[in-house]
Amino acid sequence: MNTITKSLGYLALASTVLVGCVTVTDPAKAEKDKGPNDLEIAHIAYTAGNIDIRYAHLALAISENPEIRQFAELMVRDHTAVNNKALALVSKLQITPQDNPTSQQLSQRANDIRNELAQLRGDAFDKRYAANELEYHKFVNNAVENAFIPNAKNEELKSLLSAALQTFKAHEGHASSMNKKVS
Amino acid sequence: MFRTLMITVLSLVVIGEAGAPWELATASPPRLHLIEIQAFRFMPQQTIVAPGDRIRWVNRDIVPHTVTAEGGVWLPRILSEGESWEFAVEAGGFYAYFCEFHPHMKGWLEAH
Repeated sequence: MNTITKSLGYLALASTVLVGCVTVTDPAKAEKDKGPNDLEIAHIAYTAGNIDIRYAHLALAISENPEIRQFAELMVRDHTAVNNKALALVSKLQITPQDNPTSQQLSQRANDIRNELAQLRGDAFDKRYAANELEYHKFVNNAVENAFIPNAKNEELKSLLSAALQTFKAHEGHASSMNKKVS
Repeated sequence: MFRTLMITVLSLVVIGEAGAPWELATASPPRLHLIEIQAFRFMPQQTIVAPGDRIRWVNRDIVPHTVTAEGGVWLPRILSEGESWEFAVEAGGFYAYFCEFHPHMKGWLEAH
């Protein structure tokens, strides 16, 4: 799979997540295309965090590169902290996050990437893991900034998403420098 | 004459000593400096302190951070959200520190 095809996977997902940002005039289409609701946002955000934790555990099992391992440990630590905050908020608000097609597509794509990564070793794994982390964080940050935060109705959820975005942007910067070191 | 001179000199010494407490009273007492960890930054990034002052770091982010000294001046501390830690600066000097988890986060103390 070449880089363009890999990126297209996240682009396709991004268009699904961001569809609510498109202005439409047909009310029926507007209803269908409206952005995710709070329960869906909570589900997608939690799913996205869990996906990166699973990528990280795979990296810790396979990679011997200290740079990769340090980044993976960071992903486990930070995404676990953010997801724990999300769980605490869900519990406080007494709501149940709602499964949705975007979460399902995210999980399916993550399964495909994990299967691909699991076949790789050494530098090939490190480069692919690093590249995916950068693409993945760009995708997630775009979704959180342009779809989740603008669409979230609950102020506490909006606040948590804003704090999470700061975290994920720091990860994106870290992933960018990691890519330069392993490529 | 000599007796008058000695009384004058002694008086000056007494006045001088009486002035000493006034000087002590104006010396700055130890201060507590607050450094907030927020949005993946140490704020303020640079803190001017005096020997004897205490520094308190508080983590306002939702992810854990460390306050780790360059050169191992103090043992690294992990701060989860809302946690804080204090360090007393004993001597003058330059104390650089960073977050081990997010190494782009750097800060420093200048003690003099």
